[in-house]
Amino acid sequence: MGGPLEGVRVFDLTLAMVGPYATAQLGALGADVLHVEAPEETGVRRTTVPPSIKGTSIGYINWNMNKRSVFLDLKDDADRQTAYRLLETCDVFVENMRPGVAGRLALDYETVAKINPRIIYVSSSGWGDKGPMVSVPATDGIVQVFGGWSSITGPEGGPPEIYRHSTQNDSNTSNYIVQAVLLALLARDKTGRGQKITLSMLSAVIALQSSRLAEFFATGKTPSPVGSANATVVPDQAFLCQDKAWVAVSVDDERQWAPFCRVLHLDNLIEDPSFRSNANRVANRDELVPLLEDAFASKPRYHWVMELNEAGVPAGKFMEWDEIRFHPQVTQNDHVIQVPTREWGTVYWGGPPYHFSRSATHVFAAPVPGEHTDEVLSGFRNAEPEPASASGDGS
Amino acid sequence: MAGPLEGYRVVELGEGVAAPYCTLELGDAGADVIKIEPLQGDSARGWGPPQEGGTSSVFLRLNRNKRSIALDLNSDEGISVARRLLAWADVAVVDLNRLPDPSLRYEQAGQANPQLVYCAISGFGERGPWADRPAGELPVQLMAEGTASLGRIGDPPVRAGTDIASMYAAIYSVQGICAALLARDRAGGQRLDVSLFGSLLAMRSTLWVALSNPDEWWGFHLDSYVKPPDHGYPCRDGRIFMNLASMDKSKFDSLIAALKMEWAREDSQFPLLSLDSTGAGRYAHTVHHIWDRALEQFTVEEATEIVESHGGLVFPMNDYRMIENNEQVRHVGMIQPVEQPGAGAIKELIPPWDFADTPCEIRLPAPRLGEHTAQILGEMSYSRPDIERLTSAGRAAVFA
Repeated sequence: MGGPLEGVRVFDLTLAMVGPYATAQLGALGADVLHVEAPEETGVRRTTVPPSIKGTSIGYINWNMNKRSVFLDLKDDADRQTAYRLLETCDVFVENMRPGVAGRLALDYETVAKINPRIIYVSSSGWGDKGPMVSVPATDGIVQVFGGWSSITGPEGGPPEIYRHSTQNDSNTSNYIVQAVLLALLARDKTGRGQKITLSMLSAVIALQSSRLAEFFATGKTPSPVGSANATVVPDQAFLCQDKAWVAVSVDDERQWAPFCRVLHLDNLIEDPSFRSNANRVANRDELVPLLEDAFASKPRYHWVMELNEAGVPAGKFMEWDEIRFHPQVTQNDHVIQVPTREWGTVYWGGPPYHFSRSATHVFAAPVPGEHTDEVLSGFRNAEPEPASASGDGS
Repeated sequence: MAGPLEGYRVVELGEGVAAPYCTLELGDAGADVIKIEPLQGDSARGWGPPQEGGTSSVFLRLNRNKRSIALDLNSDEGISVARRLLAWADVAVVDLNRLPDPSLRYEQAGQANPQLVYCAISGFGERGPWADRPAGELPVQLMAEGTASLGRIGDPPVRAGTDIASMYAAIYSVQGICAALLARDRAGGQRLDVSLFGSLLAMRSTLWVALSNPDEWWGFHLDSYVKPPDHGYPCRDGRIFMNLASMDKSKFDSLIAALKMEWAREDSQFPLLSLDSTGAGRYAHTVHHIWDRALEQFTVEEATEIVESHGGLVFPMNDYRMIENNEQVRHVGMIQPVEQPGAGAIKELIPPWDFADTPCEIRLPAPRLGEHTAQILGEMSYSRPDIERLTSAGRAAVFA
């Protein structure tokens, strides 16, 4: 059984992370993704964003898995005509350039749809395609702080803190792009036609904060950072154990409260009117949390992790990369996989996050830029007059 | 056509964040979403304060565009109704770690309904020693080393302020479900598995590549492990993100003068200031104290003017009130008022994608517990007497 997107071809005119990471996921689902770039494009491919492996930015490697790479100079008339012929065979077009650039390359939706009305055309930008910030750069770090994500993250009482692995908002946007493509393909099954879908990093970061914005919409009060805790659920935070190690515990379901108390030998709290329901516990957290902190400090972390999980209460500890990559839970579920590559050795990659019982997913190494140009374009270029033979072979 | 998923029927058997946000997105895309709740309701109904109209505000924002059927999931009859719902659906989204009955697993549901796309969300993955381990957002954030991107080693862990593991699992579930629906004509129905743990690990994939034998052990990604917490730069009336990477080097001295920071030349780290010293730059944390002291003297507006006139980038670190009032956010669209019975008009977020031809809309407010029980049973061809019997015996419930 092939992938769910077997037979779907993607014209991938994306750059940096947001666009390429989305199309890499389409590739994992079995689509034939053609990453089109100009021959002189260096950008993320080179060492501009370290680290690198054998001189190629790891960002490029991570975000361009599962696709083929084709050089086309879209400012060149002949190459643009080739691109148009290629588009006739494509189902999806994805771009994440600044608003207006696709139009200047004569690859705006109207042009592309005329060539192929069945094309699903997804256009992703930083801030949307109209408004005062349309031409302003957008990077993950910028979107994070502008979009409010830092304002709700940080130590108890603040200040706001930036999530240092600055790729989450890029990839979050990528994920909404993948959704848009798949949804539009389903719509096309019914309508027979493609359409244009737009989205932005700004909309994506806002959507990611749905549950926290709920608090603000309800009260008009801006939430602030609460360390490891949770403004609307108690207890849901980290506790320091006897061995000075932290355990994360989450009682987000009323059914977990009684078992939690029993494990802590705090049975008297189960029916205590101050703590009996989540609403009580939130209201009285300043009274409850110190009692819990004392209890957790009485035993080492492993005790708590084991006993709480056995009782059905989520509890866990920090795991480092070396624990993660060799852990049977990770390897048996392919949460992290190893991908052999010709250029960069074997690399670890976050495996496709969905496992299908029948369909396959298809992960393979990122291409060397331009690697598949001839293979892909040979049928699409104009026939050129044969040059006078220089080889003297009589042809 | 309304949304892309118009005509598809989705049944949700989940609570909290992950399964509900997944089906919320499917509902936003036009599907008919039926949420099966136990008689005491989704535990998220009780989250908070805040609450609006007696239900948690968070629950309301994670469950619009759905109908609710309340069932006694401890009884054979209640489970039997749930089984019929799965047989009737195109898509099922279930919390695998909290299935109330083995007969609701894919093995049986798929036999009864070979066209069913069955999405099972678990905490840690469907195989392996932790297949049954209880799932929780914060434990998963720690276990996927997510908290290494925040805080400091030895200090209390800091969590990402929104439920990223749960939301990512939901978002990936939507992708997997759509993919399986696309494959359905060829492959028939099938099961797909998504987990909170696996989803957060997938989202940190750039780090796994970076850790795979890099040329040098430093850089934008690897530095995230070793740098101290970054709170942006403090101005008199707010905090900013600043990046001088795009500034012409020739403007550096002028910037130092404009920011009245000639005193900084005495600092031994001053030479680093003109290198990659802002934002996520290589030396940013080493010279943070210098920029902090300089920028503290200015308001956000003043600092922005000075830095931008020299070719640098400045962005305010916005809180939620600032976002709601922001002009760019208004252009992109953010809020739609929705009439919520019992609470009046409440603010909801609009869907993040803008489909030109098959628009996605908020059609229904979040349901009251069991609000649509009788209606749904009727659509499933239960007879009037059967519906009466089920509801009067408490196997199914309609709560006013």
